[in-house]
Amino acid sequence: MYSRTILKIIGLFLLTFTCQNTMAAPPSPIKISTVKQLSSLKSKLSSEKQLIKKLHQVNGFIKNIKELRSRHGRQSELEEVFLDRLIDGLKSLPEAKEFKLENCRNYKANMLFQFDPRQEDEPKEPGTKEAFEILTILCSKGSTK
Amino acid sequence: MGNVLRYFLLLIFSIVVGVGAYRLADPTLRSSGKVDFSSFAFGIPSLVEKANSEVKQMNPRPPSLDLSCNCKILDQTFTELKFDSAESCAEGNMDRNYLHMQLERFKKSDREGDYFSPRPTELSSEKDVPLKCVMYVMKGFLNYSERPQLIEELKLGQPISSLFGKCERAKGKPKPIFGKPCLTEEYVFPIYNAFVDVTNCLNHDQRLYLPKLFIESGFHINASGPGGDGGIGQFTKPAILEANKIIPQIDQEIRQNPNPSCRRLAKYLKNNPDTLMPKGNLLSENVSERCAFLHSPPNPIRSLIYYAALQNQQKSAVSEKVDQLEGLMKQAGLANQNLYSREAIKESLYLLAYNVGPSGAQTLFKNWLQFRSQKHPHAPFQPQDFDFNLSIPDEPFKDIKMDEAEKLPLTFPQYLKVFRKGYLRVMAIYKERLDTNLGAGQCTPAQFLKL
Repeated sequence: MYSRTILKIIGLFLLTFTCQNTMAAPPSPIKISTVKQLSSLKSKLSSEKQLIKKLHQVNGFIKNIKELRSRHGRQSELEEVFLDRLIDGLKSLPEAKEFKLENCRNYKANMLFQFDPRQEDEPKEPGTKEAFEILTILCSKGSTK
Repeated sequence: MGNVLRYFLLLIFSIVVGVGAYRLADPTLRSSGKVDFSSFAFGIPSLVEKANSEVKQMNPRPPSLDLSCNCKILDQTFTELKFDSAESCAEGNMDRNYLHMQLERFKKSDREGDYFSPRPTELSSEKDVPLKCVMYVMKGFLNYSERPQLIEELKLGQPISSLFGKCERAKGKPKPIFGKPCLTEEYVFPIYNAFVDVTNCLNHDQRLYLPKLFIESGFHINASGPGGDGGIGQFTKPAILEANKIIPQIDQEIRQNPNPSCRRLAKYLKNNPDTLMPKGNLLSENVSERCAFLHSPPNPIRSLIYYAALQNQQKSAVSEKVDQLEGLMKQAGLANQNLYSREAIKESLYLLAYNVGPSGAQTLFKNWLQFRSQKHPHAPFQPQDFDFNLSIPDEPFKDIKMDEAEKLPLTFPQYLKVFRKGYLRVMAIYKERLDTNLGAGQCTPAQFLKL
């Protein structure tokens, strides 16, 4: 139980750190909230078995972040690009009724081609990296239709 | 027994003389300069030399194959971009003739002799980029054997943008090798001829590719990056998978198009059916099989066709994504005063997409538009805001933090620089290098990376 919490804290720290990159300013409330929601989404997706429910959770996350962004206005450029890459990456996935586990290889290839085509297996761009991790969880062996 | 031997020798003699006479009488072989008098003259060296020089005088190389220039590469000045000789490449501590055997095999695969030799004037097109452009790129591309400090950097674990790879077969993973291949005629002509044919057949702009390939591979068939990207197109897994989507279609297009370039390619594909789809299958995208894009044969034919296929995919993806930003472009003032050409924006973003992907390019452009219209609404859009040919001063853009940079109405090239995405600016520098050394418009498009 404790180890899970510690892992979460380390994950949050690393995520915030990688997203800051060259940015000197502290993360905005949107960024902090996104990072928290992202972490929570990953946990939920990992414990959920049904693919359709997982995809609904992803859609709920996209909706929340969109609302958050519209409420707070434009943030720093680094944050905006990070959030766009994350959300656009997730939006590039097929809708729940069209998502097929057997096509996961193509979904991953498409995300790489669209956002980080110089990488062989996984993206390095921070926002895309997060979207790719979500896709990897969706495609994990535990998922069922 | 003696009579049999005599008749046999007479028969052989007649065949040799007959074939030689036939080759001399054949106008297509004569005009292409492919007549080799050595097979006809029975080892009389002076006669061979005389005859060959007469053929050369009768068929001087067309202007497109002229290699004279007033150009510089690194600190060396050239009046002619000469081919390397195999002997000169064997000197020093590194033998750069390591592709020789592969090129011999490519020669055999080129049964019609369309790619291995210089082409006569009547077979070249006016729109073809001169050979010297490709030669300059090949010579000017990073050469580790000439730049020992780069080898030092590699040893120290510094990031290296490019290396070369060696493959024994068109399968497996390339082994890193430092020396650039020897720039002999037998190496350069197949690449140049294949480049001309693939671009003409599939209707691609040769000049647009020169600065791009200058950065990527320098046209070297065995260019191989540390991340696994390999071949003339520096293919990665997602790039191969994307090109594979339309390779069957491109294969059909080449075989059915009556254009002379397509016909030559179609003949090569017919004689070498495994070039694009070995045994009817698409090529593997796995890095463990990257030699498929480095080994010759079937490269450079395979890698250039794949490169064209990938460009088609990127172009259409970017075009759609730019059209989605219509409203934002107007809002940012890009539609005012006839300042913007949407095609020029699409072309620049499509070049950027090679590095950051079509959606990645759209994200960066969209955010820049929003940044200018929301954070700097009083800085009206100017053409130089989208001109990568203008130099970016080191200050204040060197190591600038994003939150400081945002206070300035950054141009798009500056915005990308702050994001550490200097790819297009570097491409513009390479374009300028080609223009300065070989003449404006010779190797590159007149309008490049600007509106």
